[in-house]
Amino acid sequence: MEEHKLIIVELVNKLVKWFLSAVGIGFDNTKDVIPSHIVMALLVTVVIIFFFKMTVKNLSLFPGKMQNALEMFYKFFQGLVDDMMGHEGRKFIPVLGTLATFIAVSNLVGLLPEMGSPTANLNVTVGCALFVFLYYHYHGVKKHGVWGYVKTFMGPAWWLAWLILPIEIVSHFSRPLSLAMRLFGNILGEDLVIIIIAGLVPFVAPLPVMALAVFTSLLQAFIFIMLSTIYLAGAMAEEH
Amino acid sequence: MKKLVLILVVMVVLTFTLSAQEGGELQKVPDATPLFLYSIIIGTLGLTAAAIGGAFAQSKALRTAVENIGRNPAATDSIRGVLIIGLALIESLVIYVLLVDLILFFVKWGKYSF
Repeated sequence: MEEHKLIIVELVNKLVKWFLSAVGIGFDNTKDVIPSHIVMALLVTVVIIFFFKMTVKNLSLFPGKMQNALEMFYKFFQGLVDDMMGHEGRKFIPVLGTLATFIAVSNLVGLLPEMGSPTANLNVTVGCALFVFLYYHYHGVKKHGVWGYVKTFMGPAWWLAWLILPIEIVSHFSRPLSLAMRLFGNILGEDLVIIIIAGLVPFVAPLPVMALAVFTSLLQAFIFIMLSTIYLAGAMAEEH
Repeated sequence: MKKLVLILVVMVVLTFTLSAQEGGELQKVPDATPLFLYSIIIGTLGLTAAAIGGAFAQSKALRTAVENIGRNPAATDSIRGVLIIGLALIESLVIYVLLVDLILFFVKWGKYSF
């Protein structure tokens, strides 16, 4: 299938090529300097930062409409983390909430005209999954120490460690793979279905499929964060 | 009335961007083998089987969840949460088969011989 060049990606590439040619580096005119998924991811980040900076300006004790909505949003993550980890999980809410916002917005942005989802590209989803992988291992090591953390992989009894350790290692390595593949497959699948249906009947037929795409975008972001919270809780678990 | 007409006109104009998509055709290379066509057919059969298996598993999960909500309505929130996670995990297995099919579809295997 022919690629449809997005306008924003074209403009950014023209700008970057003009700057670099002023310095003296020339570029082949048919290829992109900055690929479209990076441009879209940066755009989503800028929009999220701008939105939150504008709405958190005057926090008051009697919240207005936007502050009410954001507090509901925060309470959602607070309930999620409290379920899994108890009270000490409060310090993870900023990281997980930001990741959830980024994934949800970047899933939804692909439905607008002349925009593509950055998460429809395997590189972005593998980036998010690797971040979660390194994050929960880092916190596990920080809590238990290196040898204590490795001991949690050995299972309940020392004479079973030869059996349980390979199983645990394989399952730990399959986690970021499954996170990345699930998100990528869902979002790319929805995008392809919308493109193909729009190629056949562009008028009203894509609309139910786009409604389904809105639902699965939010659901996949929720599943990603729920699984990350479960992995974090598992890494920080205490042996009784 | 005017607003409705304006919204309809904007919708029609926005759908013109979709007509920029062009369908590609199967290019015949000098040493083409039917491997590409066979792989598409077998991939589709595998995806059908995955969809059937996935539908059976999800229906079983959904049936148990709804039965237990009826039996114990106070636990409906936690049952709903576990149900959503379970359904998404089962669905991701079907998505893995779809990803393999995407690889099979977008790589032109016809140039390679058996």
